[in-house]
Amino acid sequence: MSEAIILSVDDSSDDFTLLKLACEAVNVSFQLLPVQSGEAAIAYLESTRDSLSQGHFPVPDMILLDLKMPGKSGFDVLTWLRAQPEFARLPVVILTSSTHAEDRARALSLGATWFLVKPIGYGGLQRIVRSLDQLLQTKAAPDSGTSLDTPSSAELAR
Amino acid sequence: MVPNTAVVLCCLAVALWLVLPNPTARSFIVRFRAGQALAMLSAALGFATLVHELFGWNPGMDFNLYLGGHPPFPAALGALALGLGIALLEIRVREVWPSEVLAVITLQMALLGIIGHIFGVPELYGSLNFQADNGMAIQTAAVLLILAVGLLAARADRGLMAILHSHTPGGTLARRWVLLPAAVLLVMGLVYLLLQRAPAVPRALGSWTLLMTSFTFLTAAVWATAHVLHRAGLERDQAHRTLEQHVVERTAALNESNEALQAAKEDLARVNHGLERTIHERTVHLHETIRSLETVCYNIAHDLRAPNRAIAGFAEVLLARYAESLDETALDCLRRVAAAAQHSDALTLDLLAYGRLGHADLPCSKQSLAAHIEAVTEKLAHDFVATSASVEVSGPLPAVWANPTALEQVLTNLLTNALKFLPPATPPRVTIRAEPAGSCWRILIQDNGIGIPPEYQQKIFGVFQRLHSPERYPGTGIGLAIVQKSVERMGGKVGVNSSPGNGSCFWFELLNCPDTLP
Repeated sequence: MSEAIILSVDDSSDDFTLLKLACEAVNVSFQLLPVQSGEAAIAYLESTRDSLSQGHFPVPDMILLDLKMPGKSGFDVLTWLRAQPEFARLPVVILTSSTHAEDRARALSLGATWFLVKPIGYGGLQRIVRSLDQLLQTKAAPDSGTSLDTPSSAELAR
Repeated sequence: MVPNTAVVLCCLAVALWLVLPNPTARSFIVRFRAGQALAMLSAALGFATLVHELFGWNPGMDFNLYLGGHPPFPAALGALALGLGIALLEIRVREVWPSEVLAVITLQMALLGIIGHIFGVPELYGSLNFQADNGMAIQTAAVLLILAVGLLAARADRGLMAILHSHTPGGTLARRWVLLPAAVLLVMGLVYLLLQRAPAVPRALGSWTLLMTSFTFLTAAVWATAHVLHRAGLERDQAHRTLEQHVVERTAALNESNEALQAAKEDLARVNHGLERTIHERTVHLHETIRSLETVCYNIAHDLRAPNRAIAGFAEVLLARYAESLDETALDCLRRVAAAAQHSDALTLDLLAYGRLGHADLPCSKQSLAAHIEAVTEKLAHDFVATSASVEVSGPLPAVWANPTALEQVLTNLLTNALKFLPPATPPRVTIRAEPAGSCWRILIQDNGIGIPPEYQQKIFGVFQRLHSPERYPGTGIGLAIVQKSVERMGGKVGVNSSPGNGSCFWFELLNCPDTLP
């Protein structure tokens, strides 16, 4: 089985760098593909449809999506994604700095798989990375039948 | 004057004295009746005498009283009139008081008699045979005059006497001319007599002069009356015009103030309308401002937290991956950098939460206090284990009227404080209970912490109010402010009972659930 791919959509290179470091520390089985904006994310996903470019633009197994970005927001990307038949069931994990209950409710109603608040501190980030790895493996195993509940932010943040 | 006359006149005088008004005396009515009786007696004697004198018929009742001859008929008539007048003193026939009429008649007879005596004309004082020694004596006439005036004055506040001392044109007229007829008679008699006695003047001239004088005086009296009435009329017209002028002026003034009032009312309505519009505009503006502030806050949350996260994250990466190549000072610095960034992030979050509490909607519903306490203790389970804390819920917990998120925040902050502010090496012991407080439930959280001196017990609910350095007891200094604001927004209040060394009992009150709700 080839390495799983997670498309990370985040305008903050700091956050991406920390995420990458956390992945290295935890030694996960997936590869991170960074894009810096909602437009870039949609452009990448559009490109994956082109069979000629399949090798350069592999379809991701999961999307890590920030909400607040200049230009198209995470909500816009999520709405677009769920409107595409081939991406309608793609796991989307929201990783945002927003703690607002409204944002959480809106993201989940638009079809987000998980809603996670960006933790402060390296430890919390490592726990998140482990959870993502676990989620990917669950998805990869056919007929596992178990759906993972969103881990509580408090638990992850510890 | 014959003795009979004197007796009758004395009787009349006594009667008049008896009927004088003196309503305060208890015996007044008795006196009045006695006076009336005496007057009736005098009138009867006068009447008998009159009948005898004029018609020669003696009714028989006066014999014993006739001591020295018959009284002359004017005296008898006067006695009759005065007697009746006194007897009828309180009788009124429509507008006329008979006693006054009788008094005036007597007065005229007396005056006539006196004038007759002055000019030596016996007919005038009642001589039926033109003899001077016959008829009424001048003393009798004088007494009759006095008694008649007395009778008029006995009730001076009514009828003719009231007219006489009133300020109406009638009163003026009466005062000026009431004695005129007597004066005229006196003057005319004098002129007539002079002319009679002057031998050079023809007798016819006397009659002509008499008539001419009468004519002149009568005409003069009419003109004098006319003059008085005319002047009174003019004065009345003048007064009427003045009054009308006043009415016109007052009406104009009233209209003017009415118009001013109306204008003021319209102004007020206009200003009021303008104010309402201004308030509406300001309210709309305020709502827009709040919305834009919320957006700003949201952006601040996002943008401020990103660097906090980066600082803390990279510091921890260094601590985790390069711990071996760094000395202890460098590691301590890095730990401090990470802690500071985390503190900054906590402050940002708490301030945002506090700010949102000011205006965010907190819809309330029926909430199970027990369920929320369980949820919060579960959330804080790690801290409870780490501090070896024990939490005890004492007694049943009610349902309260609250916003679930806000209630959980309040419980979290209070329990976190209870676990935090402890003397060194003391495991926290927390007791939670609820008691009714009027239309509210009071929820009390008792700890065994360091306690709070009384002078700081209000201060601690303020934003950024800390009693200890953050190094000794970490925290943002906003937790209790959030508790207070949340509870107040849900219609309750908060407080603390504490003394240093004896722990603290923080409490908050929430409304009972409305009965009408399921």
